[in-house]
Amino acid sequence: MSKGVVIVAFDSDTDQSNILKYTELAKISAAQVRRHLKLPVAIVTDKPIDGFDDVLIVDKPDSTTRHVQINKHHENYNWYNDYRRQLFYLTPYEQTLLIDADYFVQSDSFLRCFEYNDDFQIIGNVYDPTRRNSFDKYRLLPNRTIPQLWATAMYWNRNAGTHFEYANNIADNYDYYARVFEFSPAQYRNDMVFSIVGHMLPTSIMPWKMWMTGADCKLVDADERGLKFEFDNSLVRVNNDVHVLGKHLLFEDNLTLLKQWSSV
Amino acid sequence: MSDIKEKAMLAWNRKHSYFNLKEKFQDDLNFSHSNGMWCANREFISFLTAFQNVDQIVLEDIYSVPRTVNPVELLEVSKEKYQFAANAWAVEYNKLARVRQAKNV
Repeated sequence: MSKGVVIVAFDSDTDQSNILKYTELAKISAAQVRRHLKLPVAIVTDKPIDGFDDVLIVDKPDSTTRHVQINKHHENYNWYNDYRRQLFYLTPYEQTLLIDADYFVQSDSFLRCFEYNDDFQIIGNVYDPTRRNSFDKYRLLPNRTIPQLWATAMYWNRNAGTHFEYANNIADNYDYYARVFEFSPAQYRNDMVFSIVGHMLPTSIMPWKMWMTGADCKLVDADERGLKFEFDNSLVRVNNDVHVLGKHLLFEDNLTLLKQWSSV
Repeated sequence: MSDIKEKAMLAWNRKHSYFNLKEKFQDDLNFSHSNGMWCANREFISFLTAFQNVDQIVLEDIYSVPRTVNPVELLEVSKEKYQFAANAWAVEYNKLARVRQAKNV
């Protein structure tokens, strides 16, 4: 069976004419996947690009407005977030792992998903390597009923069609589900959609925690020992798969640092 | 001057780094075998050693699914996973123990 990793990335212009180069971030992420998982990587984007084994060109999806601070300027940009629920029919692989462009693989942990090969697997537990427990508040959906899952990394095989059909159904009735589970309907969130899917349909929670650094953690170094972050006048070196929430990653100097690190 | 002050302010919490290593070690103990997902911790390895004279047993995996497994094979793999993860932990722990300044983190 063919196996591979899919990353969704659309570049976005801010209202101050800066470009947030998510596709460049995806190249770095893809290089890490190839190094540690030895799997091909496909990108889903809206223009031709090199550096990937497969390029799936699609129209940009609907976006919502998000905010970012670049060099002390506050800027708005379009966040193209609503595509992964359509990936079941788009992926070129029979066994697919999807990861965010800002999820940096530094181990072979995800290979266990391919070996286990349950139809639909997703992240359910998060770990904050700064030890501030920053994400404990997201253990459940806002109405405190069902666990929040993280669509940052999802695995599926060809039997998971129902999961994606249901995800599409939830997205089509997003306002209704937002009212039921009391999350904001203002921005489409994959985490919310796939949390409900995971609750309703047979789903395996990946048996490890997703390491995640908060928006206030600044990348200060990257080498063979891992990624080094500064936060609250403290430092932490992360030598494990890590999802980096801070948008400062998209700044030119950080992209350069990460490119050197991953040898893109 | 302010740059020097900022750098001097930066702290590194050795204990947190040790916790992170342990967290990674515990995650690394999980593995897939015989259609199930298992955790090669000390309890699991001890339990399996009690069944080395039988060909097949039914064991509950970490998703609470009963799986028919060969306990001899599963013990072999579990020991391998445990040793690999524990060795990696020890190597990283010793590296951290040698760090004396935040700039070397």
